[in-house]
Amino acid sequence: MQHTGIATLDQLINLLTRLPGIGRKTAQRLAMFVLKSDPDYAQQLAQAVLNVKSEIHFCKRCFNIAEDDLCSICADPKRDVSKICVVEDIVDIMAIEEAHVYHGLYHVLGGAISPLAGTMPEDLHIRELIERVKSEAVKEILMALNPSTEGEATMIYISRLLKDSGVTLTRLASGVPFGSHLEYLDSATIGRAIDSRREL
Amino acid sequence: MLVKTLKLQNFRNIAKAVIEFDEKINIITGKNGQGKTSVLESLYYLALTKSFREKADKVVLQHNKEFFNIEGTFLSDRKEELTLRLYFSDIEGKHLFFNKKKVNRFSEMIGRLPVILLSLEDLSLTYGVPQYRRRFLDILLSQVNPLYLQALQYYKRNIMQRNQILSLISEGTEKIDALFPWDVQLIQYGSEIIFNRLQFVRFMNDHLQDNYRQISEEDEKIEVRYKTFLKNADDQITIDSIQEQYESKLSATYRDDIKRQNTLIGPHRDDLLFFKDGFLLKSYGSQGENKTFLIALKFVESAYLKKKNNEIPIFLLDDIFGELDTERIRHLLSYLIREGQTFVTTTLKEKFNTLHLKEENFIKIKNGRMVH
Repeated sequence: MQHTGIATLDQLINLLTRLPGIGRKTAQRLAMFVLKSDPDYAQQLAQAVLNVKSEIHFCKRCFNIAEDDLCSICADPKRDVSKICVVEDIVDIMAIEEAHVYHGLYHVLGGAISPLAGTMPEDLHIRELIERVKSEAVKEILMALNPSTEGEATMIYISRLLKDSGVTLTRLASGVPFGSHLEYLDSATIGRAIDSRREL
Repeated sequence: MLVKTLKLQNFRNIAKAVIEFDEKINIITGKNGQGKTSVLESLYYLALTKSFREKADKVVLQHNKEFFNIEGTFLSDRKEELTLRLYFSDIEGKHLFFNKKKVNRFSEMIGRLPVILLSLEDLSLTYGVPQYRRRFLDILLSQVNPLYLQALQYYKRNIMQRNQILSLISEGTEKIDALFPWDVQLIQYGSEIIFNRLQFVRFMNDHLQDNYRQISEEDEKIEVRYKTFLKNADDQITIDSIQEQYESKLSATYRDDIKRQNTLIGPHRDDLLFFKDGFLLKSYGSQGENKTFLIALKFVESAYLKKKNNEIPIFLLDDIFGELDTERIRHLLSYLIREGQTFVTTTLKEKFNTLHLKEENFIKIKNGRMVH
């Protein structure tokens, strides 16, 4: 590993390297950019980083990001409280919100079950979800987990826990993306879409 | 499918070559190490985007060169003109072009140019460990059925996750209950895999016998059986019945699984058994019989690809004529001529001398160059 020999610069580079998707070369470039930029920029960047940690935390109810106890979605009286959409990660909420079709609440698990990655059910916010189903007026749980074997395992695990709860369990449909052309789709996607076709 | 021309650049010891092929038989001759197999290897590359001899693309790049390029022109059975080009450089990576357009997902191209390869390494299919025979099934079925490939990928990932749970249970950090979400998927994907394999075994049994007889001209009974943990596993079994048995078997063996920290039943443990007149071929068959069987098996592979893709595959036979006498070679070639286009490499040109082939059927390679 190369060092600049200047301890403060090396420290910044090392910290930047820990960010996802940032290698040593990129970290060096970013650090040099900060070094050459005017002092105001460095001040604002540092403050913004601190603010993210001090002013944003997780929603007590759904584990989305929030500025208060509850996130903006949980605090919104217009949301449909009879539905909870279960997602792996906060970014999934952002993606679903972009679509403007879902108006219920969310629940962020914080990942999917993966023994190889050391993530077991108790490491996720599954217990809290079960509590919510018991204490809130929930009628439907929509599982919007990633279509991976880990996402699938998590879905199976949760649906077994909620089997006798009386709520309706649904999952995202998988198949042909809207606006695509059949001729350009990969055949596995088309195959699964045909397997899970539905009546008109 | 017909290969019309092949253009090679910096591929192994071939600096530059343009080769035109005969529509039926192409016999590539030359001494060892001259570049015969490289011609087959490059066709295989276009079909499956990788080598059958090497794991790394870099290895086939000629020394001190920055890139290699393989370009083929083809005529499909529906008489469409096709071009495939594969370009590799250490810096830019590997790129595939179909009819001059860049292909983003290689998996989409697999099966487009159907090839059947038979090399000496295929002898491990009959003699080797079960893994080779599962690989044979998986590669072939994945080529024609993308859902099989997907089920296989999910299944393998599931096995890894489940085995990790088994270790955790045996250490006492997890409860047996933790297996549940993985078992559900294991049964789903595993059953799909077994079901498809059983259908293919039926297809093999329908075709193998005839193929074997065509080459050997002896009346032996050839049979393939799929060795699995299921009872009554044949092509009549329904997927529901597979799932049912799978589930009860899995719940009967999980204690052993935990003890061994490994999933002991499933398609990743199954095997194919080849019989000749009721005896296991690998224990009782001679070298020649094994080779004849393998060739017959390759013809089944070809018939299967043809049936599923409506395209006759090209045959690549790499140096397999060692133990075969001229009579068997004659049978084999006359069969191949009826099938489609064949590429053969051999050091033994004299074995083909009495077979009434034309000058156009022979391509001689010396030091990476075509010589006439």
